[in-house]
Amino acid sequence: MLKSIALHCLASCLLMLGTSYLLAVEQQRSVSFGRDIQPLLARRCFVCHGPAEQRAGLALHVRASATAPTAFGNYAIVAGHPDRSELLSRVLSHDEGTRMPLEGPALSADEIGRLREWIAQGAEYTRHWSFVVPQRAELPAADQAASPSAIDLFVNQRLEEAGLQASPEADPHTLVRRLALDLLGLLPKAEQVKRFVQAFSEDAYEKLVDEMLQSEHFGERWGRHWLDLARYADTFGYERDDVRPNAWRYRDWVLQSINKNQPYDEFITEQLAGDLLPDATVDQQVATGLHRMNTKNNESGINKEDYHNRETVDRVNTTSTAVLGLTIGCAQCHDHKYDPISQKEFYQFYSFFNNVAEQDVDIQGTGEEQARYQRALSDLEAKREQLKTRRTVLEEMKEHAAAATWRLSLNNDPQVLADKLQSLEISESLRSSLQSSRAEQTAGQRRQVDAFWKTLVALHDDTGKALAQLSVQKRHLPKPYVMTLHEKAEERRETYLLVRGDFKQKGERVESQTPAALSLFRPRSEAPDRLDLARWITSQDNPLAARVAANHFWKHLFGAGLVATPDDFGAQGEPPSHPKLLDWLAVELMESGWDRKHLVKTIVMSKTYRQSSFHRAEVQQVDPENRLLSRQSRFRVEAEIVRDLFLDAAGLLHPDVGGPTIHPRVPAATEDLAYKYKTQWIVSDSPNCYRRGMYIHFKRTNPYPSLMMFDAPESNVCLAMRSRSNTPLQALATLNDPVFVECAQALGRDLAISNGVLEDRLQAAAARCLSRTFTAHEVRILLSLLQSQRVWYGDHPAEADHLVAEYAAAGVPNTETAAWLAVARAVLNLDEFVTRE
Amino acid sequence: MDREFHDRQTRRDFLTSAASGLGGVALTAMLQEQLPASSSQALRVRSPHFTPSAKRCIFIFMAGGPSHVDLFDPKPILNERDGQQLPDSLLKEVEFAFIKKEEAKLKGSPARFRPRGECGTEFSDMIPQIGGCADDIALVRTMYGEQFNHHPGQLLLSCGKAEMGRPTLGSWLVYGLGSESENLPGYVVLSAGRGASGGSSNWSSGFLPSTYQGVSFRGKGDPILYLSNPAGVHPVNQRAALDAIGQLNAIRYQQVQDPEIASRIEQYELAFRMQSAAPELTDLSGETRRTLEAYGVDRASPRPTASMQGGDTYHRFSTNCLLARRLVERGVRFVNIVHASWDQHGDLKHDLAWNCQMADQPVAALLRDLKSRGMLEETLVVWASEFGRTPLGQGDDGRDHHPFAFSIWMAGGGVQGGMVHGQTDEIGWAPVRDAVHINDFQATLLHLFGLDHERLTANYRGLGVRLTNLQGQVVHQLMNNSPADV
Repeated sequence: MLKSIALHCLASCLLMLGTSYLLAVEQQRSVSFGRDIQPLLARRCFVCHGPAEQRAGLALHVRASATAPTAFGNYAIVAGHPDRSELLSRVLSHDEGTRMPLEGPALSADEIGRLREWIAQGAEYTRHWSFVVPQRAELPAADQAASPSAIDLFVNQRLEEAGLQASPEADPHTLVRRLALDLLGLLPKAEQVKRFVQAFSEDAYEKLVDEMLQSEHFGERWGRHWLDLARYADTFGYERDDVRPNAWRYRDWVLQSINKNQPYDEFITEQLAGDLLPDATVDQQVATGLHRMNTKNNESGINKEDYHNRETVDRVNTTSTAVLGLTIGCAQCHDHKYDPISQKEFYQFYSFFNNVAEQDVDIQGTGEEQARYQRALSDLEAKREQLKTRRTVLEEMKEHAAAATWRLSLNNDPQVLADKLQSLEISESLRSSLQSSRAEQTAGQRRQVDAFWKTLVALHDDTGKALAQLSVQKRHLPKPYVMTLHEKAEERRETYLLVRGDFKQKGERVESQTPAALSLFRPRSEAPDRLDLARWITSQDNPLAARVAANHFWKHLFGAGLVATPDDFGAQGEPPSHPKLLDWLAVELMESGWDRKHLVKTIVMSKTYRQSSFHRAEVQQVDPENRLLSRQSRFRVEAEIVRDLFLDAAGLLHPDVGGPTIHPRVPAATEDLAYKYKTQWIVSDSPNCYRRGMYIHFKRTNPYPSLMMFDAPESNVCLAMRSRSNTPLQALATLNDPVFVECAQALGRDLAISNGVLEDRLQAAAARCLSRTFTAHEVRILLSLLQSQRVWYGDHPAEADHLVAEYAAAGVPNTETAAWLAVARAVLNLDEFVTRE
Repeated sequence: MDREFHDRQTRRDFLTSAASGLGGVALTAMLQEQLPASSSQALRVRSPHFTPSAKRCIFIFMAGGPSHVDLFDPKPILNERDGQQLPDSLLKEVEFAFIKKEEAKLKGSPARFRPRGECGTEFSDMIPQIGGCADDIALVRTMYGEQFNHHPGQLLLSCGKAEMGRPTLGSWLVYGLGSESENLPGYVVLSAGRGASGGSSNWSSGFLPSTYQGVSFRGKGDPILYLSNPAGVHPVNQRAALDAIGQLNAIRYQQVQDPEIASRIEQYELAFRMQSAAPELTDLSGETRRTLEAYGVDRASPRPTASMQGGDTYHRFSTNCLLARRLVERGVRFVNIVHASWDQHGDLKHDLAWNCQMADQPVAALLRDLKSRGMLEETLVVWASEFGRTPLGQGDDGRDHHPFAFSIWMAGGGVQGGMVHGQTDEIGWAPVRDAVHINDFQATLLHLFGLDHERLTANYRGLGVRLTNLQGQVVHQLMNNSPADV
């Protein structure tokens, strides 16, 4: 008992210690202007004493004015002297006429206490940490020789302060799997793992990193991360949810930009303002597709002004969330409650996007692409003509069916009959039976003909359906055009502040301008445009863009950002766990010429990245969220990657990069819940159906089910962080979804036909799926599964046939293959298989 | 004794033994009691803010906009002034989706209304059986919103704001209260006919984890996606596979100590239980002939009209109503019955009748069935839509979208039966007293579940977001005994 009490106390002390270390530098004082004072003043005082109004000549949002004499000659704030500050005596007053704030309840004792302390400490208007331009801090002095990476120095400094130690380096096989998952989203090849583990060295690690950074799958992996922010989808959303057959061209632009390591500042500039660049190339115009990815309501009878406003607001929000990590959207209806962004500034930002016009630009595409499109189109047309003729014939037959007068209506003309019958998709024998008159037919032919007439209505219906399907196919045909934005030259809109965000209530007129609390705006002309905005965002003195980008890279390599709220770097967001490290990374990114691959390499080369991800009991109490990075993180891979890993392990993955979307098999009745506006899911042929998950056609109102089960974004709004749920539906999917079952079938067959002792074959599965070897204990468990299934399928050979289906192994009985298939299915369903460790 | 520490020790010991050969069933039984903080905690039952009167909800979502003036809100003056123009004063500020203002004329109703039950609430003859339940129904005639297009209107109703990316009603309830069902999802969607135009955004969990997302049960094949084992895999094989998976996962857990692994083991076991629970749920063979007939499960759909799909819609809607009862019986928190063909821009007389015949019998049967089983007291049944329809005609025989006044009703779950709340003007255009905004309705619904709509929040992009979008007043008049806030 005593012991447990002691343990408990120790744990509590450690807990307190840990928490205090998590506070950012600014917040180490007991009162923080950004966290405690600014929001309070904004909420309760600014209405009368703020940017909009200065009653009694007092403005509390600027220190100079707050500490200057008021219209009455007294001082609201006397720095260092709360008792001489009028502000404090007013909030303490019990007299209704003088008590501040005049409206609403009095401030709480706690709020007043903080105000007092803040004034006593000097009433500093410290700027919120993320609004100050990042600087490289001096590296911690400790033992630089032993750990040359700045990342490690910053991380170790915090760990030491907390009395913790970093975890040891992960096993080489874990490292190679981690790198492959993080950088490519694919499994490392078993051979590659073997080579790497056998000849593990610092150089080998670096070489592996370099190889992966050059892989075109790197662009897929990291492009998909950006697409979450870009709310990329292949349909428009809302009721009709029409298809965008060319949205993928923007997606491919993103992939290629990353693969050719286009500097991040150019990447952003082209997406926001590619059309405004001098002599904009087609590629630069494709980039503006970013702001065509928003949802768009094509329902008839909508108020166009309303939706213009919604789309513009979405473009503002997406830009600010994705690139600036700011919740500018909070200022749509009123001044931001916590961050220094006024409602007017929201609409000034809005003004940059208020005169964009959507434009689908015809492109020639490659010659090959043109030819493919033309071929597909003429195939469709030919097929359509054929079906239309068939439908006409079937209609004629239907008319004459009851009276059996069809032949008569054609005067029994054999040539006409033959022509008509030619259009039907029927067997030769039936054709010749129908060609003959009743008298000429044998009894067998008569039965055949009678049966045919009974199916006539169904045949006619099927033909109608096939025709409908063709028009859907036509809609999906990737006719080469690109979705772009350009700036309207004429009929330009004026921008107004919208009162309470209501598009019908116009307030003050505003011009394009960036929020004043951030860096200086230096437009090229009197009429600032999106290019000025993009240049402002990517200028070296913008305090946010580089930090936000660096944090995104970090997030994908550690499972969480240094700022745990990647979409909110404002006062309401979490402060960074390692402020100096974040700034170091941000400056490194900018000074390297916004080199994304360089930043990724810098991070993955660090010892911090290479730590083991095993949880440690002694750290659990102190730092349960692992904010101090005493280990790597361990997390389930994203939705698309779950699918990719299955296909990859099974050897089914078709690795083509880019191109039109794919339509893998979906369960029957998936469309039931969708509003059917002229859409149909036409399943792609092999090998397209085995391509990576990121290429699956994304229909906003009815997305591909197994993606959504694993937390793929709904892609309606910009998303900076996916959730990671762990649900029974996920288990059902990986156990039973035909796509995943097929992977087990393919892997099972491979195991069944491979030679060698049982254990070697199990180890082959381990190498292929988990990049490691099974322990003896694990082997025993799987062998016991194998044996029990051998026995069961031996007794139930028909069930083995069902299970193995098309994946029978040459020279191996299905009863044996089925048992291996069960083993493969179990291995693929291990937590470890879908987890990046 | 530090409970958490103790638990972890026990769990570790236990997993050691589990890894050495114990089956997954036993494994989970123990894990359940002792799961550390992990993502599976999301569904654990949580206490509401104050004593609730409702525990489960069946939300009958009649998407498209059923006509309130033909079903719930009698306006004889429409028939008297059929074809006459509307006064300019009413038209000035108004927008329509399709009607041109200069052509706007009042349209009489094909329906007759009469008082029902002891309370005497007037219901349309098009839904006589629902009218027969009048004494259990609280009818709100003064609902309003501001969205006059379908998808935005549906978002407003489901998410509290006409914006995508927010959690829906059912998600909020499961987020706030957890799920009582051990073998079934806490939030289930049942659909018949063509889907609602808002699609999955009507049962999305928005920015909340997908754990809180509505699980759509399917009309054909497996009720839950991927519920059936692959061909050639029987429960005995599945069990063997799960045992091996569970043991291997437990070994990994021992090494790595990541609570997510323990959670994964539990989710696989829950999936296995679902595989037997869901077919049991949808197997209606245990229901009496009388029950099946009451719900009209075996009814054929009448001939489809120009815009109404025929097929098996009647059968499926009836089945869904019965399934809804079976779901709440098994502890499911929120059942959303979706039917989406109430958008009568034309052919109103026929299409509305087609829909009413579909819905009337099974919905009334559901109310009676819940009542006779003593379940209505704790089960809130809601009939709702994104808006109503104009008292004005559109084309030959249609009505346009009308969000300025429409009707919904509730029954059970602590709602006062036999009452009408609110009154609209003489043509059903706008409320004249006791207007209820969609956010007010949502606040009221949460209140019935013991949840304060201002306190049930989730952080999103720096804001404490709530269902009612910074609006919402609880309508206490609708309740039997308004539960006191504690």
